[in-house]
Amino acid sequence: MKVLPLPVDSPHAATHPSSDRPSIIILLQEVQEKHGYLPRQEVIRCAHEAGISVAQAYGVASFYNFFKLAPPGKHTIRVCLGTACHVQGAQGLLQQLQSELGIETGETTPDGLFSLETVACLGACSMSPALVIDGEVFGRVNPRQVPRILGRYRRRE
Amino acid sequence: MQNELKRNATLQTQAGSPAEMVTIRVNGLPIQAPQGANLLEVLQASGFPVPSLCYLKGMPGIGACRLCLVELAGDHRLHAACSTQVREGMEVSTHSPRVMEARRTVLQLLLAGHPNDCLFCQRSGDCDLQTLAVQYGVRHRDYETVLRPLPPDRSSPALAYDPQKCILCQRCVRVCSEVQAVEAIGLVRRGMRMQVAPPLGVDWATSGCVSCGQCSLACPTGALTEKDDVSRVWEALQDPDRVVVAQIAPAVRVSAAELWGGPATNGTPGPNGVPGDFSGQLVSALKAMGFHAVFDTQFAADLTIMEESRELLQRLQRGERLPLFTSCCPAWVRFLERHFPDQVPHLSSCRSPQGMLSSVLRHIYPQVAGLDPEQVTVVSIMPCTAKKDEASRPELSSDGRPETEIVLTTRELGRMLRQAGIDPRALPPQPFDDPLGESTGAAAIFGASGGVAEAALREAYSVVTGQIPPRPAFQAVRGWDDLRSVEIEMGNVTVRCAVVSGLKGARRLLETGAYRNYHFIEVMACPGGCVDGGGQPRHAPLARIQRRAAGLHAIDDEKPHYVSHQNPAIQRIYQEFLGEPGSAVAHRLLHTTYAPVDLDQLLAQG
Repeated sequence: MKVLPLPVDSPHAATHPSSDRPSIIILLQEVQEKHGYLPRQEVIRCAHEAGISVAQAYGVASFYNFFKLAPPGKHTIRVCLGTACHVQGAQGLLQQLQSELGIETGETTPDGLFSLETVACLGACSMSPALVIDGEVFGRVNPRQVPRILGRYRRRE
Repeated sequence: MQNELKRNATLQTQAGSPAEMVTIRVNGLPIQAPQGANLLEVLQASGFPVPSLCYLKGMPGIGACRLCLVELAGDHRLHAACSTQVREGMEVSTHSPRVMEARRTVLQLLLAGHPNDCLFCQRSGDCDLQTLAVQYGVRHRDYETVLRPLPPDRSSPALAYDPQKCILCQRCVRVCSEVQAVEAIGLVRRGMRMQVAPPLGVDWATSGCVSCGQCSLACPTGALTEKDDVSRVWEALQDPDRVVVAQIAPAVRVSAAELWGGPATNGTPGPNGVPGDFSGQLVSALKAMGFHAVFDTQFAADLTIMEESRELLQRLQRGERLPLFTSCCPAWVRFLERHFPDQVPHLSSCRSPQGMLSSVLRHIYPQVAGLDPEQVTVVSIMPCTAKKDEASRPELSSDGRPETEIVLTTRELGRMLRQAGIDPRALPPQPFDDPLGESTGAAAIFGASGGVAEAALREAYSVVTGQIPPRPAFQAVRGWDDLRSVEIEMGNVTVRCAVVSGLKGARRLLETGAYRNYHFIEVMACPGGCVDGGGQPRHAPLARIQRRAAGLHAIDDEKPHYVSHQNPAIQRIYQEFLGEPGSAVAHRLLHTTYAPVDLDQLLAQG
């Protein structure tokens, strides 16, 4: 019987990101530009291309508001959170929309009809609080009016 | 643990020249420390156990929890000791009024987002956050509690995650990626909705998680824990229609005593604090709780060696599907299935010892003991969280029931015995029940990295040469490096064998293609093997884990038999029931199949 300790083969392939790999943020931006959001398999592809784990790539994708993880809805609702709208109760309006739609800011309703976003200022301060749906401006909106406004878009389907 | 090893190595040897020693003053006392050393480690080693909830020994500090804040003379800011390097002349205050006030505020802020349910928490009494709250005299909340509206993930059969108890220290994420290279989880979202999760919104069961449970050892709170199955065992024990039997894994007998105050309280403590064999007391305790019989997983470890060594020799002879990978470790099996599905054919078809013993207990034991097979319920006591996952595999079910009905980790066994008011230390030791309680020394060492390889080589040598290898044989596979390898000539057979401890080493071996240079590869997912399993008692430093392994090696030394086929009970079971190793019956009862998947596809589907 002969027992010989062997040297362990040294690794040649690194599994960690290196400077010649593209940045995950740039890759995700390209995908979002092309698709309007980040499809799941594209996040996985970007992770492999950047040489990082899918968990890390998804951490980045879910961290930034800019990145959308679901396809945009048919109608995009943008709630103004600018100073004037804030003073006039924009937070209450946003909360009403979130509970009415059952989604958070940056998400899309399961039926694909609405996505909800916020903007810093619409430039419609005289109409505060204001929101825009697909370019149509609604001014001096009371949270109680939200169901009626959404209803108009739902009825068109 | 692997990192603790590496750190020790670098501190001592750094290119032949040890780091220059400098003097710093800590609370006015002069302390010698290597220039550039991690300040937190130096303080903790010098009698000033500065607290931390995010630091992981041997890994770079990330300053996430802010509890290790200290005051440095000449600097108006407080510094996180974990991210500060020792410099000559440094003057450190570890408990100035400012520091204490800052730490209390940090604790209050952590508690402001933490539920008020310590009474009902699995970690109560063993929780780092709770310990610190007690230590810093927190008696009321300074801030109103705001819990994040995040639901728990209980999808995994092995682990449970509660984001409300998570303090976002990232220990689990770093252990998963940097120690284990599994990379199953990360931090997702931000602000009030930030949590630890697998990517793309999938649950833990669908993710790349392999259930090794190293994260549950690292978690400072009750956020990431083993799935608690204690109440299911109580239910089974109270059911008059069931005959509940237990099996105890090798590594549990050298660690369980720690739950009652450390190895010194063992029945037979060895020299240098090496834990004695606690299994006798555990058998008594389980019997006192109402178990019908208690068997030894080590019997099945011998059975595994009988089957696996023949499989190795057969594959060597035919030159097919080499190298042979061991299949005892369910986290390693899951790792291969989910992360390297193309290499799954290399896995031994042998079930793990847990799987083999449960199969024997469900299919052979009832005939021998005159029991209704329907009634036999197997509970296994394992150092491991992944064994819960293994038990849930459809391949290891029969008649619609998992053959291993419930798996308890070492920690759960401790909680259960406390609930029952049983102190195993004081009980007279009892032997395991016959005949599935007999084992050789080769089986005991399964619980330490290198053990399965060593046991298989002893058996293969016996088969090839017709002789028992003289003691000690093949100890070169033991050790604490993450990758070790040997070349062995036995008769006209040469075996190149590698031993991998920790999944990071396994990933390296697979990604570099270096695995192709070997005939036989043992992989244990947890660094050091089952002695450091994800279900073992927490807060064990490297030295204690090494003593657990020494305990197993001492059991091996004391056993009359050295090679698995010498086990008389093994000889009987082949004569009376199984025929030959590798027979059709053996294949039906002791072997299994695997389920490789494309993880990317799994994640993409969600």
